[in-house]
Amino acid sequence: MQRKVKSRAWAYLGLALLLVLVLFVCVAIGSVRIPLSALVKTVFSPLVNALGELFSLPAWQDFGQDVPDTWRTILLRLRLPRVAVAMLAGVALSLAGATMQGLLKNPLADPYILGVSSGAAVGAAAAMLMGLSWNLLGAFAIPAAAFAGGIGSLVMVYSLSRGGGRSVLNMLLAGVAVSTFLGAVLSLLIFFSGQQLQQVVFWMMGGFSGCNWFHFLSILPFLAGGSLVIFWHSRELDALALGDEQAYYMGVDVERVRHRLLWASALLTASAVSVCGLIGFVGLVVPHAMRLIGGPVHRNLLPAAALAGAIFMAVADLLSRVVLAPTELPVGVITALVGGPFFLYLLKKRRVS
Amino acid sequence: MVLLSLEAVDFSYGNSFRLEDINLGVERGDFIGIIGPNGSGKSTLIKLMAGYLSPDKGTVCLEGQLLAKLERKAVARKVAVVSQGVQTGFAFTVEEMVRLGRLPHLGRWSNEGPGDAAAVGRALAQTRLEAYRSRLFSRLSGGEAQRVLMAQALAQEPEILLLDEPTAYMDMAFQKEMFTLMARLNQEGITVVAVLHDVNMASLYCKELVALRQGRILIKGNPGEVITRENIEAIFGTAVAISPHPVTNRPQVTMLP
Amino acid sequence: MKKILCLLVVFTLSLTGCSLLRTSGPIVLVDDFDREISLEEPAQRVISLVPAATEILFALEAGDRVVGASEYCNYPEAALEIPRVGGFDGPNLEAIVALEPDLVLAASLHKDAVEGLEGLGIPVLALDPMTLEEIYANIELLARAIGEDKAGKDLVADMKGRLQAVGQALGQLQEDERPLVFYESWYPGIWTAGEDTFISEIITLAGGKNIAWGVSRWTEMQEEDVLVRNPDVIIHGYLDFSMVEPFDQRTGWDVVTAVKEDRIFFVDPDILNRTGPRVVDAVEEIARLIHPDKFE
Repeated sequence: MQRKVKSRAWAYLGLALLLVLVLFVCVAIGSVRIPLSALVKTVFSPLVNALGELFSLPAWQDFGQDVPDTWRTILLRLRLPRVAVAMLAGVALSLAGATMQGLLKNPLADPYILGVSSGAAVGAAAAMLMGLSWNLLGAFAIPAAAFAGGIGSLVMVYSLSRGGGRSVLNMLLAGVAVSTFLGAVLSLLIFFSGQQLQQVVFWMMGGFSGCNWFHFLSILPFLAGGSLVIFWHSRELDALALGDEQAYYMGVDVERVRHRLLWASALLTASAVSVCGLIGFVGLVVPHAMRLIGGPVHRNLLPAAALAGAIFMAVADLLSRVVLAPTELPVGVITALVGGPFFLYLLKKRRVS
Repeated sequence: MVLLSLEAVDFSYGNSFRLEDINLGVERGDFIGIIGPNGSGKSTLIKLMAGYLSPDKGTVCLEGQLLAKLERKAVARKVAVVSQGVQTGFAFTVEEMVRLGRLPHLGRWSNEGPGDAAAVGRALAQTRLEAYRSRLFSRLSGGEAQRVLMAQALAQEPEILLLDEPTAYMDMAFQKEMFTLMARLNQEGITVVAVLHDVNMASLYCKELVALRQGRILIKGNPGEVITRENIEAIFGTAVAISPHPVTNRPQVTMLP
Repeated sequence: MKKILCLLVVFTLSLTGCSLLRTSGPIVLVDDFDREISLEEPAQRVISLVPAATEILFALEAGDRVVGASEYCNYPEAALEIPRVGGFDGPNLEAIVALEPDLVLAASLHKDAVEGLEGLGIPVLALDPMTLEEIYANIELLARAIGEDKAGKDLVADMKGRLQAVGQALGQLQEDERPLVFYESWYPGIWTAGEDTFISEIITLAGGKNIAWGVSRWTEMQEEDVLVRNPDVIIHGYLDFSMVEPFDQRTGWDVVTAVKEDRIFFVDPDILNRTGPRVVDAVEEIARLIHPDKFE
C-alpha cells in the first residue's frame, strides 16, 4: 500500500505541473499571434522591474516596457481571466459529474441529470427575453438568472420526490420530469424570443467569451464551498456506491449525506453553467476517464477529476479560439467532438472487458 | 451482559408482511442462529437489529441505549453487517472493498494509518482472500463476493457481527470455512448473530437458535431444545427425522422423502 | 417589287405581333434560390414576409398591393396598417391563404412555409441577397413581378446615383484614409458582419474598412482580434445598454481608438440590416458619421 501511495503522489504532482503548463500555453496561444517573448516579458516584468529598482539596474527597470499595451491587455486582461474561468468551470463540472456518478451509482451519469442545466437555460433565456435592465447586476443579470434557474430546478426535484421518499430512483424520475418540463418551458421561451433567438441559442451552445475576473470571483466561493462539501464526504461516496443499505451499515447517514452532496453538486453545476452556458461531456467523460485510470475510490478520483477537468476545459477553450480564428467555435462543439468519440470508446471498453 | 435487545417489537411492511411481538436479548459472546422458512421475517429481523429499519412498536437497544438515537458512525464501530447480494457498477478491487470497512474508524481528512492497514490485512487473512487483493469485486463469483463482504465487515472490527445468509452461493468447503471462521471469531469475543438457511449447520455451530415462523418467534433455545421433530414440523411444516451428529452429538435434521 | 413589299409588311406585322404576344405573355421570375415561377399577370395581391421586400414595394409606389405582411414590416408608416400574417417564428399559412394572394415574398428562413405554399399552388419568391448588386436585382425582380419594370430601374438608378454622390463627396480615398470600422450586433460572444456581407459593402461605400476580414458571413469574432485590429469607429444597433455592457466599461477596451476618441455610433438596425432601398440611407448616414469633414 505504501508504494501505491507514493506513486499516486507523483501522479498528482504531474497533473498539477501539467495544469500550470496548460495555463501558460492557453494564455500564450490565441487568435492573435503574440510572440512568446512578449508573454515572458509581461509575466516577469513586475518582478524584474522591482529587482531593477532595488539594485539600480536600468536595463532591468526597462524590462518589458516594449510590449505594446494591446498585447499586454490581451494576455492579462482577456486571456488569463478567460482561461482561469474555464479551468474553474472544468473543475466544477468534473466534480459535480463525479459526485452524481457516485450518488446515482451510475458511472455514466452527468451533472445535468437532475435538470440543473434545463433550469439554468430557462433562467438565462428568461433574463434575455425580458431584457430587464438590472442596474445593479448589469451584464451579470444573465449569469445570476442562470444560477437561480439551476438551483430552482433542484428545488423542484426535491419537492416532487418528497412524496415517495427520497430514494435514488425517485429523484432520478423527478429529475427526468423536471428536465422535460423545463425543456418545454425553454422551447416556449425560444418560440417567443423573436429577435433574441440567436442570443439564446448561442448562450446555450456554451463558451467563455467575455469572461473576466469578475466572473472568476463570482463562481469561486460556490466552487470552493461545493468542492469542500464533496471532498468532505469522499469516503462516504465510496460507501454509497455499494448501495444505501450497505452504506448505512458502514456508518453513513445516507439521507443527510445525499442531500448535502446533491446540493453541492447543483451549486457547482449551476455556477459553471451561469458563466459558460451548457457545455456537455466534461462532467461525464472526465470523471469516468479518471475512474478508469485511477480506480473508483473517491479520495483519489476527486482530486484527479478536478485537475483533469481544469486541463480539459482550458484546452477545449483554446481549440475553440484557434481552430477557426478569428471566428470562434462554441466550446460545447469541441467538447462534443472530443468527448463523443471518447465516450463511445469508453462504452466499447466496458463491453469488451 | 446484554448488548442488543429487542423488546415487544412490531414491524410491518405495507399490508402483506408483519413481524410481531419480537423479544430477543443478545448477550456478549452469543452465537445465535436465526432459522425459519422463507418469508418468516429473518432478514427483516437482522435489519431491525442493525437499525436500518425502525420498529413500529417496541424498542431496539444497543448497550441499553435506543438504537435510533445513536450516531450512525458510532454504531458502525460496534456493529457490522454482512448482507446479501451487494452489487456495484464500479470497479472496486477486493482490497479497496475491504478498506471501506475502516470508514467508521477514520476521520474525514486523515489518511489511513498502519492500524488500518493491519486491520485490513487481518480481515483478508481471516477470509483467505490475500491472493485476491487486486481482483475486481464485480467479477467475483457469488461465494467469493460473500467472503469479501465478510472481510469488509471484519475490517470494521466490530463487537457484534450480524449476518444475513452468509453462506448462500458457497460450496461445501467454503461453507465450512465460513462457519469455522464465525466460531473462531466468537471464541475471540465477537458476538455473532446469523440468519441461516441450513438448519444442520446452524445446529452444529451455533450456541443458540431462534426460530421464526410467520413473523413471530416460535421458539428459542440451544440446538438441543429447538431441533426436535415436533418443533421442526411446526416451524417448517414438513415431517423430518432427527438424529445426533456422529461427532458432536448435536441434533441433525434429515428430510423424509 | 410588290412581292418584296408584301413580304416586308407581313414580316413587320408578324414581328409586331410577336412583341405584342411577349408583353402580354406570362412573367417568368427566378429568385435567389434559382427557383423559377411564372405569373400570368403582374401581381396585384402580394404578401410580404420580408420587411426589406415590403419597403421595396412601397418604394415602387405599389404599397397598396401589399395585402399581408409580417410582424416586422414597420416601414414606411403605412405598412403598419397592413394585416399581419406571422412573426419571427413563422408565417401563418391559413392567414396567408385567406388573403388570396397571387404572390408571396419570403426569406431563406421561411423554408417550411415556402414548401407549404408551393403545395397549395401559390407562387412564392424567396429572397436572400448578400451584396448590393443582389439587392438591385431583387428590386428589379419585384418590379417585374408587379409589372412596373420601369419603376424598378428608376429606383435602382436613383440609389446608384445617391451612392455616386457619396462617392464623389468622399473623393478618392487612400487605404490609410479609410477609418477602421467595427460593426457589432451582440456582446459577449461578439457577433459582427463578415467581409462578404452587404453590411461590409455598406461600410466600404461609406468610406470605411470593415475590421472583420477573415470572417465570413454572420458569425462570432474573438475579442482579442477586435482589440488588436483597433477600430477607429464602432457602429452598433443597441437602443440602450441594458443587456449589453457599454464599450467603455469592457475589460481591455480602453486601448481601442474608437473608445478613446468616443467615436461610437448608433445606427438604426432597421436601416442597416435590411436589404432594401434604405441601404443607401445607411451608407449616407455612416459616411457622414465617419467622414464628417467631407459632408459639411
